[in-house]
Amino acid sequence: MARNALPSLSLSELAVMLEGEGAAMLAASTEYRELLQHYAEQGAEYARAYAPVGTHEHIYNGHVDEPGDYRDSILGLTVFHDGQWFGVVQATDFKAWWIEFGTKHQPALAPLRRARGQLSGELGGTFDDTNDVQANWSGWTNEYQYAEPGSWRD
Amino acid sequence: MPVNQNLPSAPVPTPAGDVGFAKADEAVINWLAAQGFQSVSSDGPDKAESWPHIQVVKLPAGHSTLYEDSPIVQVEVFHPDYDAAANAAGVAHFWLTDPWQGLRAGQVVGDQTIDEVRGSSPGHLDYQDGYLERFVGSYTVVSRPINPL
Repeated sequence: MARNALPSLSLSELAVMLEGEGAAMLAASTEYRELLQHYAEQGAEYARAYAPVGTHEHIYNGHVDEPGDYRDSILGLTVFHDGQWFGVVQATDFKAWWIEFGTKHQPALAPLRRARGQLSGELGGTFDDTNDVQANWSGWTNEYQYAEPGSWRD
Repeated sequence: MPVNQNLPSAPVPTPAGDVGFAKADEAVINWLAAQGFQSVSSDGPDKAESWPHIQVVKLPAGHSTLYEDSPIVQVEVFHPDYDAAANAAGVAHFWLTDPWQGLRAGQVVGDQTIDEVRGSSPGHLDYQDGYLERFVGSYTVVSRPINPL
């Protein structure tokens, strides 16, 4: 499939089909994966546009870090998880966490979250970090707050 | 996690200047301070008055106008002790996302009306500081001023 060429299935058609009985089969289908791949690559382009690029090389413990290494490590891909396809935008460079969330030495620039927000807005706000599997990685839920003293959660 | 169910929402003073602009991050700061956190600001932990310290970071994302502000707000909870930081982060997450007592749509904080709060649960992220532990949660907060202009 050519890059940025829309697959045969449109998002509105998909929304109608996901309401029907064949939703589980559709979520595992090749057409659905092509659509997600399209939007994942589009999100990766947004993230590359937001990504900071240095001016000169750094050497970390012998590893030569060239300008643009973080930007070029951003890619869009699809993963199959729990019976359905998911679109993912990820950065594999080792500086990704520092750039995304900031540290003592540098501010948070959040290229991936900004790309997700932009793509979410273009698609009608259909996804955000509330229902993001990868974002809720710490295991915290609000259910902890409702534990009565002496209950099994203590 | 001890949560006082009968805690009244503390009155938040209306800021004197810049009334009328949408400022979602200031709404988060005022809201968390009203819930009993002693040290909440947009400053880093080097300006902490006590522990835990909460730094509210407004990321360069979302649109921001006179009438509506919808940034990604990163709430960073600092404490020298890992467990204390985790507990404080969980309490802050509760006060930001609970559908009954949290910073929900329609809540008025200072001169800001909240339209939407959504976000993921906080998690531990290294701050590259040997003394401090940090828990980070990121939220999209949409707010508008009560009385623009």
